[in-house]
Amino acid sequence: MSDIPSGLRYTEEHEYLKSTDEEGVFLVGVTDYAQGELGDVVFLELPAAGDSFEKGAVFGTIEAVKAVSDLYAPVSGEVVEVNSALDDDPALVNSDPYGEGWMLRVRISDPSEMEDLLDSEGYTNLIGED
Amino acid sequence: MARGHEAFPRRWRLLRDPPAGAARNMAVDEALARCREEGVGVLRIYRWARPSLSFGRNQSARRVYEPAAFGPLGAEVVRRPTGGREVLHDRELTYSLVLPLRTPGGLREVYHLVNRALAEALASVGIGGARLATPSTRTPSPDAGACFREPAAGEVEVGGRKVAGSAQVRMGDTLLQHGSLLLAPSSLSLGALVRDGLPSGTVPEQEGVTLEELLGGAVAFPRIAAAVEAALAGTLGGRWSRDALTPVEEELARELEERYRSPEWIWRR
Repeated sequence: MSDIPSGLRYTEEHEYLKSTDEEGVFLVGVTDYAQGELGDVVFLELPAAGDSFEKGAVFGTIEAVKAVSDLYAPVSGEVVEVNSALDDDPALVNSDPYGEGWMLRVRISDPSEMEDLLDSEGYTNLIGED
Repeated sequence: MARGHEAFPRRWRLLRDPPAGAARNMAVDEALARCREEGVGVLRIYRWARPSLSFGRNQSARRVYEPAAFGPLGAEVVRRPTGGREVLHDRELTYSLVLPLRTPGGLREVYHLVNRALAEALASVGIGGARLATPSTRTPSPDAGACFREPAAGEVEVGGRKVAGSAQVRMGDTLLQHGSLLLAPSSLSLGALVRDGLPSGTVPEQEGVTLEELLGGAVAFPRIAAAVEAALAGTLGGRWSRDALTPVEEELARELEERYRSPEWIWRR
């Protein structure tokens, strides 16, 4: 069974949005289910701090041993920080997807977009692990 | 990555294409994936017009390979949409599969099912002992050397030597997987394509084993193609029929070919 913490928001493409201490700033990463499906992550291509993207846009790619997948922005916003620890150890996405394996800190530009995201129950239903 | 689960496609299109250029081959694979219809899968079997080196989507190539080396040798170079490392495509059978992500078991199960089918195809033409490689203790990065150098977990090997290599990409809710079976040795070596001054010991080599070597004689492409088609049809089920690109797929492939031909894409890393 995949770890699907309550209190986070999820996309249908398996990214999550997690609140931080700073209002309007959220962590973005991929879910435990996603990392399990992909297998050992060997490479990430992520945007730079200061980049902006629209909800649903491809913001990067994730590569496991054989599979590549695009990463989709859960909401519109600006990248405040990129997790540089992933440069040296992309496998943090596997070992701790919601903790040390976060990818971006994003300042969201339209909080109403969060209403379109799934809660943990909705995401559980989506991946068929209920 | 799967979203819920659904059965494999009920209908399969089977395309067997003549040899084509490297950019065209990658463009057609992507066009088939981008145009996937609900409930319809695609198997494409193809070849390469000239010896062609393909890089993995995120592989660092610039520091190893020399862009000017390819033309004079009559070779081509391209970057795949899929992951993994470089593959020298020459005298080989290449397949691509397009199917929904929402299949039972998702990406990894498809990978294993296809590799099991390829092992069955080899057995059907008289190559015994094909098995799926067991997980290695270390994880190869996209820069760890040529794809056929050693089998990754789940890939098809004979006597510990890799005979088929495959890679995947998720495009929206579609999975594209393509891969190669080496039929005979290439006339080209990877060493002829690298930059001058590359430290000895770091020059890549495409190893692996060819079907010609395993069968002890010349290999007829149509025979292997028929065996691969039959094994995949048996594994994936559904109704299979021969087909060709639709006009929409053809138009998209022509557009995508420009990108796959561009140095900005090929040499992006």
